[in-house]
Amino acid sequence: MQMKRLRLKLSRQYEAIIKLLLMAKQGKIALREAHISAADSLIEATLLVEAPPAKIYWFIEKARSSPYIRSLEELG
Amino acid sequence: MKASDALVRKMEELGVEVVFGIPGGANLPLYDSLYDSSIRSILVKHEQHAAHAAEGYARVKRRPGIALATSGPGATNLITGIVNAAMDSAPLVAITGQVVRSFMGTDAFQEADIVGMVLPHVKYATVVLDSSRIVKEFVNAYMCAATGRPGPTLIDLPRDVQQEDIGEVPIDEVAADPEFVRSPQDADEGSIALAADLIARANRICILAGGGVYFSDASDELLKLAEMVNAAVVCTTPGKISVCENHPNVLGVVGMHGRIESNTAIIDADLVICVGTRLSDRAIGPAAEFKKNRKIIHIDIDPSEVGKNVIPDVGIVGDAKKALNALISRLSTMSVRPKYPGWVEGLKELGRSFDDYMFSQIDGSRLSSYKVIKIIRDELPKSAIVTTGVGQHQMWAQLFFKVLEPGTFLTSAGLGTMGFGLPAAMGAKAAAPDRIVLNMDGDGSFLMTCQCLGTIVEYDFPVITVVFDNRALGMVRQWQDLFYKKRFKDVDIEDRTNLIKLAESFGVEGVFVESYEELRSVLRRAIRNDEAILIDVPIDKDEKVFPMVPPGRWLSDIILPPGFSAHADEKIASQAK
Repeated sequence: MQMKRLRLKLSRQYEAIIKLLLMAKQGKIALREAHISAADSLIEATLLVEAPPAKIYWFIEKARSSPYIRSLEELG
Repeated sequence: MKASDALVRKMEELGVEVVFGIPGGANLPLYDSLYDSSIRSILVKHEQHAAHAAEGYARVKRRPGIALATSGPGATNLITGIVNAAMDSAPLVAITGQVVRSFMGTDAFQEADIVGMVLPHVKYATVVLDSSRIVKEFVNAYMCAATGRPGPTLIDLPRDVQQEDIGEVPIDEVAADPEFVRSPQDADEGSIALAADLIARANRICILAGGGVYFSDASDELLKLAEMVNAAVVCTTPGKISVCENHPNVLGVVGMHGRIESNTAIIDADLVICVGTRLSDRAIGPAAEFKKNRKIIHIDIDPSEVGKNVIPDVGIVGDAKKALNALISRLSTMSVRPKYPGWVEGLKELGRSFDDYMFSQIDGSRLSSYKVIKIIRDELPKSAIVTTGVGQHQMWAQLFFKVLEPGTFLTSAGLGTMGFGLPAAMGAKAAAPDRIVLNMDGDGSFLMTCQCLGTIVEYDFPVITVVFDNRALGMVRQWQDLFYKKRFKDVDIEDRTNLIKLAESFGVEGVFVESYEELRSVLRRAIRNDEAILIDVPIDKDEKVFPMVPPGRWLSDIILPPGFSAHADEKIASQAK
């Protein structure tokens, strides 16, 4: 299992947050922490996720290809 | 300008020719705008038909199909079709009406949170609350559906948003935001080099083609690579649309109901090159077994697919056509010679012996499904488009119907949606009115969307439907037979539905055939006249689909038709040597 902290910027709409969580659910990604805050035009989310490395990779790539996700940064 | 007028003008500009749907209270402004448009609107009998028809259209045209529905039940009726499109990566844009903004959240009449419902299965869905964004959101949804890995999107439009005046809009200047048009990345050169090295070292190479090969227009490149390295080419169920099955290297569909030579090719291969496929369990069986004893190269446009089900030895993220061209180019500078030149021909021979065996079992006392399929193939022009429902007939079709041109076999693979065939055929006919379109269906599957016959007549979409009529839910019955000790429960359809009269009530000629000659004759007439017809073909409910790999088992655990096992074991053993 691997833990990873991710910082994401999402488009400012409910669907973006929900889709992000649905992707985590689909990948059976354990959410250890989730901090979500709204900025001016975007939503910022910081997640601490836990899953096998292949699943983490899948989740990151899935998120990166979603139009709801404007940026994704791996914090380690 | 009214927002819905602007939306329709943008649809016209993007080349939308046809939409499938049903009007209702919440999408009336949009339909009012369509009244003055060049876009043809097809009034279907149920919104599920709209989604499947839009997918059929999209698959033929390789561009998004459009499905319209009103709020509430109209929108929820689309869901099966939307999820079907997601599972088979087909570009589809659903436009739903929604109750007016002031009523949203009050459980108003025909209010349903369609965006919330489809969100797990779409690339993008949103409620447009600002009328000035209606054109932008449509373009975003349209381009999102069409680019990268294709898939469904949905925009939900409150009625008052549609009819609001948004002033003069420079419609031609409205483009999609960059995050909705994600160009596929170029294949990494290092990965291409690694893949080429694996190919050069391999003894028996199998290429597994998925539906992505078709959407990338990479069929020629895939076959070129196969010829170059003498690879056996097998395909997934959605990948059957991607390859010509009369090519000397192409064996056919692999998997749970794969052809014996295709499954054997995977079993024997020491390298499998997977292209444009998500490697579902239905195609490859357990991932751990698939990975054992062979190297895997996986090419896919969606980076999240590479390693999702099977961790490949080399993953190549990119458009299939570009990646295959890069691989071919690299290999052409190397000395790559197939080490077992007779391998593919041996597999072909195994397939021929299977066909010979199956056809030798036909005793003439009843119509055999695979012979019916052979007759359909013999009679259809190679450009004809075939759709299927879901069930035994679909598996017989994937086993015995040879695709002779890419893009001519449309089926519901991932979701396995019974009732897909007829509305998808209608959509295909809308996309290609000059080509023959034939829907192969089962009686159980056909009866789920049979009202579509009415639309076919009304809009002059002459689709031929052949119903494999065993008065049973045949595939479920087969499972109860093989795995549930013949405890048949709710699989025999004992009603007296007369399919001929049913067809005639919609204005479609219905013919019950009792011999192969009669079938051939009726088919010839329907093809010659390009006319809508329903051909009811009685088949035996005890006829089974073989080969079959039991769920969760490896491809080598294949169940073969009774009497063929000894013969097949001999063949497999000799192939393995």
